[in-house]
Amino acid sequence: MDEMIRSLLVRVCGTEDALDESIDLIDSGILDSLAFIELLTELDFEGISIQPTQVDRNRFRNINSIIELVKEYQ
Amino acid sequence: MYLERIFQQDPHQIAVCQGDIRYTYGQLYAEAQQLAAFLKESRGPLLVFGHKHPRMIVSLLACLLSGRAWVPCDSSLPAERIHRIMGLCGAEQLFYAEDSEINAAIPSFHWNDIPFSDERFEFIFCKERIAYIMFTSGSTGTPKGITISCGNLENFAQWILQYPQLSRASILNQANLSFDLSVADWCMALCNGGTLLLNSKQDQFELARFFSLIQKQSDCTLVCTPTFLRLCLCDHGFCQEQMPALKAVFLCGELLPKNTAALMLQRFPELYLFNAYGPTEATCAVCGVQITAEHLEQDLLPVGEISTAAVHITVEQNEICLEGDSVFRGYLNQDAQSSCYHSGDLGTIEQGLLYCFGRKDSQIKYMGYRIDLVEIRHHVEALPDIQQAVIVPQYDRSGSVRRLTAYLQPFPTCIDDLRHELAKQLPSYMIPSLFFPMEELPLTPNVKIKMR
Repeated sequence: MDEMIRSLLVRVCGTEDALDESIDLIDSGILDSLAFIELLTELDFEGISIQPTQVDRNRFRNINSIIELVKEYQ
Repeated sequence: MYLERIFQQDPHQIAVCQGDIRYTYGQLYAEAQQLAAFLKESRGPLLVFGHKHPRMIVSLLACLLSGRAWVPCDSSLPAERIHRIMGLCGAEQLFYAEDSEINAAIPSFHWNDIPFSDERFEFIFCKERIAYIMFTSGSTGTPKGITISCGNLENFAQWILQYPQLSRASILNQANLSFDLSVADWCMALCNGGTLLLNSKQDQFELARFFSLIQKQSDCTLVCTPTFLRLCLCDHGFCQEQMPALKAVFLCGELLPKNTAALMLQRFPELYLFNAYGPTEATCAVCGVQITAEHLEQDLLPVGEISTAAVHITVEQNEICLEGDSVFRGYLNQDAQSSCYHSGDLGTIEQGLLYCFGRKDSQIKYMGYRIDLVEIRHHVEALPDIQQAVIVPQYDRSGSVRRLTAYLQPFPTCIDDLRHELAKQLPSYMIPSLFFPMEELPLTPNVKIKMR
């Protein structure tokens, strides 16, 4: 599961930097609006449906926080 | 006259809202009159700094009343860029529509600095007078000023108000007011006596806030970019059952992907989905068409009907050309344009419908923003440690720009510092998201990245 999320995040962000725990994915612009849209769309495709209105977007700032979030919705 | 109607609405109706701040038309007029009296004392364009405060709209009305050009500058723009805009349009006065400030080099004032006045002004329509100036990315490394006259705006208003399906009781705004898509929302609301609902960046970041605003309406139109619509559609709650008040969507600013339109019509089977086209030079949009299931069977979605367009549209050597009252007279500080504007957009007309499929130059559309890649390169190469830069857009399968990447020579040790430096000069949407050493530059300029 962790691996799936990691590779998905790298794919939508287009960079391995997305896995760097010290980077704020939103402030750095790595997880921009389009990457965010793709991430949610791809997760939905995998049967994990995260509604943007029901989660705090701040949870998308870091890879670990994203993994934790996805697991809650699994 | 359609613009006159802006000043003739029922004073008790709600005109503009943002969060808890509400202005009736009466309050809007009273403040606009007071500001207009103050603006009458000096001349030249008025720079207005702020985000989505209703006083942005107060200043627009005051400029129309006092005959000054309105130059909206969203507070998300870097101060350097605002200073450049100031210099380019020769503005000698800046109005802060909200509390936030920049270190302006020209006299600036807040609402509380405006003296009381009981003078009253009538709106006098003057075709040639400049209504507003908006700036877009320029190929010379400097933003380009586009001056839109009252005559241009009048023609746009006349065009957009011919669609009763769009003119709802409330109009939901998404775009910044310095981005010309917003002209559609304020023009539709104010000329029709509707309520303009301004949505801040924060409202859009927290979609729940934005959705609950829609749920509080009785009858509304959303004006947004296709990218924003895609974001809304990520949430399953964005559907007709939960938002019966959302009756129409006006889309403009970039290519509408077919799957976005399909999903939208599936979630809102009765909604009026309107796809429009137009460059800032021809006042927001010049044509549009209702997208229906029938269109979804084609490869590309149409961007407008020729017969109902605001201007005369032709395609010359694959380039979309526009001629008519919505077309501007020329860029700021440049010679006047010929009456026929060659848009640089590639397109075709088939069975009375216009289709658009790209650009003939280095200009691109990214999340609805119009960007000249040369301008970005100019700023990256101006940084002390960079000798050469190539800016490459990446595209997704639908042909939309997915992200901007930069290839640098030499490659700097700290990308964060570089990003930080660029953010002082360029708006965030013009800063590349990924940086690579020049050796990794792909050989074909249009890199299509595989998404799956």
